[in-house]
Amino acid sequence: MGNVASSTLFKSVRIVCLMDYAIEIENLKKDFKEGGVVTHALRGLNMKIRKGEIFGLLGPNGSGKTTTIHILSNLITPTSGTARVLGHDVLEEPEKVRAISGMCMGGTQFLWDMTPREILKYYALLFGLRSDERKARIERLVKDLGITKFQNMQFYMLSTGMKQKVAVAKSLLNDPQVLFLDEPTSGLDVEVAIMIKEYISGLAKDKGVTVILTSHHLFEVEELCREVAIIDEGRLVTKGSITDIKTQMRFPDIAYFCLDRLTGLEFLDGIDGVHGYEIKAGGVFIKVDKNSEVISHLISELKERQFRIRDMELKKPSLEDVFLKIVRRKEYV
Amino acid sequence: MFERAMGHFYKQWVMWRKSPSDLAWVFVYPFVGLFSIGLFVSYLVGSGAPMETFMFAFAGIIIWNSYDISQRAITYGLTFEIWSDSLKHFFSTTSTENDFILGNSVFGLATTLLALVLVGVTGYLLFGFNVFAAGMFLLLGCVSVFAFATAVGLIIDYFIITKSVKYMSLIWMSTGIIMIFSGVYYPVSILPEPAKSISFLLPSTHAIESIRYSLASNEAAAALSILLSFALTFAYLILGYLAFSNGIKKGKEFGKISRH
Repeated sequence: MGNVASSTLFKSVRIVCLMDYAIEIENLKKDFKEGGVVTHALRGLNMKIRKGEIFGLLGPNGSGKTTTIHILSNLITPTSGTARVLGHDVLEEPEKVRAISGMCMGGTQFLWDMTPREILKYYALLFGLRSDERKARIERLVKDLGITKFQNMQFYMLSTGMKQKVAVAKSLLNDPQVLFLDEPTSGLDVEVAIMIKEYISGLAKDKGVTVILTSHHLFEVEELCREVAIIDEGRLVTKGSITDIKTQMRFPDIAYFCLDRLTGLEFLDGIDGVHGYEIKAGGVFIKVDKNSEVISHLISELKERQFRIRDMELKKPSLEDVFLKIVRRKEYV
Repeated sequence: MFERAMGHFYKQWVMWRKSPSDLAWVFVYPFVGLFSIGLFVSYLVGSGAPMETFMFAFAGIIIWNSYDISQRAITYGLTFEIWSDSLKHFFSTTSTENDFILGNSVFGLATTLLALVLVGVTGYLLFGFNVFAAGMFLLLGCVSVFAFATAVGLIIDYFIITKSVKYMSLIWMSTGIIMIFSGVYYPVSILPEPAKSISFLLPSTHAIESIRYSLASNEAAAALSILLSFALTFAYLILGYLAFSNGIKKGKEFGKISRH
């Protein structure tokens, strides 16, 4: 009796723990064999993503980002390891996983002769949506994503931006709780990209949808995501909030000064909190500690030496700087 | 399941009605066969060939249209997606392989029956040959060949998914090869001995023979042939289904599905 009770309690605790996460990946491996050559796309990836996050999955080309998303979307079966979407194992409950998730990729193609409305009806049927529900969802998405004007044009006639709006609408037809977005704004003009980003933000904020986003536009990831993971060569390199990762990396800030002359700057090396400088683009870029006192000290030193400061800017490290440093260092977790 | 299967039917319907080359499978190619073979047989009969020559030719034309159209439906259901690079979207929905087979094959059956009626009526009006006289055996023959073509289409889909899109050529190649062994325009008895064994294993051979027997008022032989045709078709359907399911499994394993 005691065993049964403790077993039930254990299961309940496990379910509660499981349900905190939208995505759980444990020792996930994927090998592709072609022409006698084996490619290790994933080499034991471990990751957990909390519910309701807009999570950035970053990595250079061939790092395993798309393979991870394809495994989670049930398009590829893993070689070993486990992957769960909202507690549903991708191998054991593939239909449940597909029912609760949506996927959208950059440069998406659909059947060329179909119109956006026909495309949406086709996929709504494939998701098993009944007539009334199907019509209502298509109407809502067509309106929300600004598809109305071109809803009856053939797909091959649409611009890249229009096609991508259709792709986003298709990924939302089944009201997914988890949304996989692989380079969703790739090749889009600024206006459409902003519109799609705002829509994605709204989904997470208003509906609690978990969004897994991969993008080479790191400024976009920085704008949308609080947490990111960087993977390379099929392994996790680092994971956490963007702020924490930047702090851990101990990046100096860069102070840029545009001066009336660029000679006689050797004294900079002797100032506390300065870690080198470089003269380029008509100014001097100085690596400084994250400390406002260093900047004030620099300004007074420059003035004391009769330098005229024409312009000045303090550059914080971007996610791109962090990404490049981490990927080049190749220290795996 | 109804909606999901309906999705595949809907796709075929939209693509078919918008594409002249797809409409041609029902409204042009069957008539090319009808006119060219019909006129050729008319010439032969006029030159002293027996009237039964018509029977051989028309039964073959009718059945072969069924095969062609049915196989097109099940294979194009997949290749439309590959040509458009949208295969991954279908596999990321909750639709299953059973929905795919059901939706596409029902569309194949509908277009097959449409072509059957159109060609049958035209053949009667132009050449005075009533293929509908084969009655139930005509319908059963078409259904058996439709199911056989679906099974062959599923096997071709297996090769396209697991190997390469280059295997699409099997869609057209297999039709020609199976036609030779099925005795579409001649009795299989004139085939060389080893070819007869292959011919015997094809449901289409027995379906055509059943219609020919029926038109010759040999109902018992017609019934036996159609039973044999259905038995073989059943075996091919199992093989086709297993191949297709395994193809999807392997396609996901090799990453082939996510590439299209």
